[in-house]
Amino acid sequence: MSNTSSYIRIDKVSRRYGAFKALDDVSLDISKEEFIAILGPSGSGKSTLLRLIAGLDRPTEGRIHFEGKDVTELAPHKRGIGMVFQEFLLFPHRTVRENLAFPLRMRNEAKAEIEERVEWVAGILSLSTMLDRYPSQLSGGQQQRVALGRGLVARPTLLLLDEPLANLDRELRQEMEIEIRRYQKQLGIPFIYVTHNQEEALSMSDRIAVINNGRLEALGERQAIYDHPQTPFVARFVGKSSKFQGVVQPDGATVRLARHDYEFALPPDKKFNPGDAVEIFVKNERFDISSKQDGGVGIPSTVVDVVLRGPFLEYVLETDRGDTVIAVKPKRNDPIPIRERVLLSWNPADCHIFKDGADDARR
Amino acid sequence: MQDANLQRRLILDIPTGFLLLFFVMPLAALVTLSFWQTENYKIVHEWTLMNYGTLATERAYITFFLRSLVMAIGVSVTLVALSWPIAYFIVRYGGRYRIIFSLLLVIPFLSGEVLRLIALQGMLGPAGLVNGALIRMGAAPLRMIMYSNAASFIAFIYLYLPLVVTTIYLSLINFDFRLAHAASACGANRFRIFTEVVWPLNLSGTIVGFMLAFIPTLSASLVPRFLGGPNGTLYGMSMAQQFGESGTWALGAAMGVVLFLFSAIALAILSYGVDLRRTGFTGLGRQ
Amino acid sequence: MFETKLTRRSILVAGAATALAAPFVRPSWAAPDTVRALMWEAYLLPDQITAFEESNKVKFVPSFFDGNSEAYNKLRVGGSKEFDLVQADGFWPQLYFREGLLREVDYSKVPNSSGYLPEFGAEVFKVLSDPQSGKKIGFPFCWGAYGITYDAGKVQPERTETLECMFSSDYSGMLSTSARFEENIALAALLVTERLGSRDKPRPDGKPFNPYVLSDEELAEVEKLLIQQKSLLLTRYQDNPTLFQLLQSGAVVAATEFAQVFRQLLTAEAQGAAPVDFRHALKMKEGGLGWVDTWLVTSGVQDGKKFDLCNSFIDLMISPTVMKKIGEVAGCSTTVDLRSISNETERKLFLMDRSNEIADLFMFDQPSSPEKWERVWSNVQAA
Repeated sequence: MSNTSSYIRIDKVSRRYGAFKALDDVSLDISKEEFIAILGPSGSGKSTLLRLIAGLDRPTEGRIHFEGKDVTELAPHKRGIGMVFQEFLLFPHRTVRENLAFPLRMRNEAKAEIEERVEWVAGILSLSTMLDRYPSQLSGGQQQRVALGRGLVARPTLLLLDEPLANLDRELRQEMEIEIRRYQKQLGIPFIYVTHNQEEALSMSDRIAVINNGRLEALGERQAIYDHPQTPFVARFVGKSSKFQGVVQPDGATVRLARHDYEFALPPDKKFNPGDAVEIFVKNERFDISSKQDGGVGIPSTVVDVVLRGPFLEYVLETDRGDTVIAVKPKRNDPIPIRERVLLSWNPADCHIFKDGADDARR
Repeated sequence: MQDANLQRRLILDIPTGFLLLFFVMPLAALVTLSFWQTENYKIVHEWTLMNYGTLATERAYITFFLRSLVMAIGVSVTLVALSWPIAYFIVRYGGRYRIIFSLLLVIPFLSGEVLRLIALQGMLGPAGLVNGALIRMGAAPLRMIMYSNAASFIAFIYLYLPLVVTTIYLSLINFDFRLAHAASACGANRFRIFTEVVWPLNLSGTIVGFMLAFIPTLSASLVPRFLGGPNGTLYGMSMAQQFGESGTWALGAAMGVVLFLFSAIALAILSYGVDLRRTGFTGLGRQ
Repeated sequence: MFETKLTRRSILVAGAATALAAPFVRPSWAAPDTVRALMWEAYLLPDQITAFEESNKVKFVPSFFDGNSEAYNKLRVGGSKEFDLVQADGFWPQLYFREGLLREVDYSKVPNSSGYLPEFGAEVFKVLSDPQSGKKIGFPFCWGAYGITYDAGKVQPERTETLECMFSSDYSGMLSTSARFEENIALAALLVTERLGSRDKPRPDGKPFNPYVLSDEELAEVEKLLIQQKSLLLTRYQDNPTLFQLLQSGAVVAATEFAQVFRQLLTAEAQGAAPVDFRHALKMKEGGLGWVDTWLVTSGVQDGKKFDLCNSFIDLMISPTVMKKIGEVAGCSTTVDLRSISNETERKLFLMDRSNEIADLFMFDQPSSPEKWERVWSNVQAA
């Protein structure tokens, strides 16, 4: 993306606190109408990035542009952003209506306009019946919607969401994920969604930026991030997977697991030297389970438990070497029984292989 | 069952008894006395409203009351205005020294009020720090701060500043400053963050601080006695004279009742006039 | 004595406490082997008390007060059964006796009473005799006046011959008086009655002139005078250290006081403070105010062991050695002749040769109407 076409441009931004680099040379271009998730574990620097975009903090280096305009030094209230916080941070001394009207009043909108916008946002967020209540009289989900409404009501340039669903229970969270994505598509402004929850990132966003140790670890379409992780960290962090250690065989074309009696062919696009130690990540849903009697190859394992997860079955397997591996399969009417001996294998094209220590080398 | 009963009775009866003994009974005695008269150091046990009539009509007592009221309002408003920036600074920039700052505030309380007053009398008096220096430099002493209402005003500020700063400090330290960030992200500038969020949400604490300065100032007798000078007699000082010197206890009691009622009403207006919800008060603590 | 009195009085609103407690207090009946005294705290000499307790095998239980009206109130509330010995000054002992709170005393049982200065002898000092029966009602103890201490370098000594100097705009902002309302009013009354010439006219109580008994007209004039005086005052001092500071720093050039600060100033000078010609005018041409502290025995004390104990305690208190010590500690003049055991400075300092002047002073008394006087004082303060 070029400088001119990007709606939000984060250009080589760093933020240091003394010797500590909270954010290290991060560049990111966000286009209008894009839903981007910033994914990372806690302490990775993702919230720092969000605060820099919001203007609640200033970068040590680098610039931030909104619609081609440098906003790096601009105070938050002049950036025209909306923001939704993890703790909601509704004004406890104001009613829902007043909370929603707050950003409009701060922009000195006309009274009629304020009323109209509040009605509009209350309408799309189903808050119309609780406008005169105080935040403490609302449920968590309702507070979340008010926080979202407060972020959206004043037609912001973009909406920043800081783990907005972390304080909600699971069911509500899934409902809200769909809602939030719907609002984003409806409003046509970029949503920047910070989360440590890869499921949320995957289910809502168009693109995902993975942040780790202050650095941008990966950036791409969510499908690509999920299917083709470029670093061991991303492979481990995005999706649920199991990790194996292996060694590239002298032929340079096969990998043998270190702890298990299992070999598989290196995919043609992976190039390693013979003798290289490698890490292999296999997504839980990519495992193949075959019965021992079929005489196939694989890691000899035993089924220790079967967990029903809606349309999926989660097999908890224990390898003969004592490792636990989880494999997810579509639900069947005749699941493999517990204590059954099985062989665990995978299609070499579906696993992700990295040279051992690749993560450390990057640091 | 017996035990539970006993326990409940202890829990209820002890504080009730305490209140009765040390609050209700003296107050009842004060009210009773205020409807009697004194004559030559003797109490005349005849019910009369004369004391209240005197207070309502005699210019002297009205003057004392108005002086005290103006003083109390001036002192409390000034204290709130002074304490806010101090407390705000400690909370926001005190960092790990916050606890030390807040302890420093308490130090003056370690000595008695009289001691602090005498120290202040020395400071403000003709041979004191300020005027002593002025005289040594050959300048005229500042008459204004010697034995005047201005001196009393300075003393009240000095006496109650730590109290008000501490109160506002405690309010601010419990305030979630992320709400200020939220307001900022909602487009509020610094001024509006303060007026729309920080101030209203610390209003209860501020009112408590205001009252903690207002009520003792309104009833103060020591400060005007030591520092007020010939024109500095305040209501509380006059009241103390009724009891201590002139032996006109009944009139003093009526003055006490008036003061009590006025303070109670001021407290009621301030606490009920302010919608607690509008100060973020949920009755459940911080949420 | 008054040093303690004034500070303590300012701090404790003792009268209030007493008045409020009145409905709830119950007398604690005296144990036979105690002597209970209601007294000024400044006169308590712990060594002497211990010696008294040991030689008589009794316990001495002191209670303290900060003003005559407070003592009076305590005595009335507790009844004379609460205390055995009590102190009062001015005309207050006569009031106590009239109210039946005191018993007659016997000078023959107190040998040291023979050591009184002539002015305070039993026959001469009529303030301690009941006017009706002529019975003796107490023993003189310390005495003092409410004169003018002034800086002779700034105030001409002859100006202090009249009270006018305390009301003169020549010393505007450099005058000070105590915060005691009775003495302020009484002193102003001396000037007012002199001006009005009303002293020789029939007095409201039908008795000879007493500045504590004033007509409404005189009180109104006093009020006016005190209001005028207010603008001339730097402050009404609350305690002696304050006045000491004000006089020493030169901020105040003349002040009415009990001569204690005067003594302190002279002592300070003797100890090296910058010499200032401080003087004390005891009596002005309009007259002056004075007080004599006393030891009185309450009507609860019967003849016998208790009365003997009281007498021996008083005898100890007015013995020359104890008296001298009390004079030094409390800073007051004594009614006992100590000239034989004092040096020249002490004689000057404690006005030992001027005790005859006490006879011409108006004794501290109860205001004719505390209610009216209080109103005058409030009006002055509010003006």
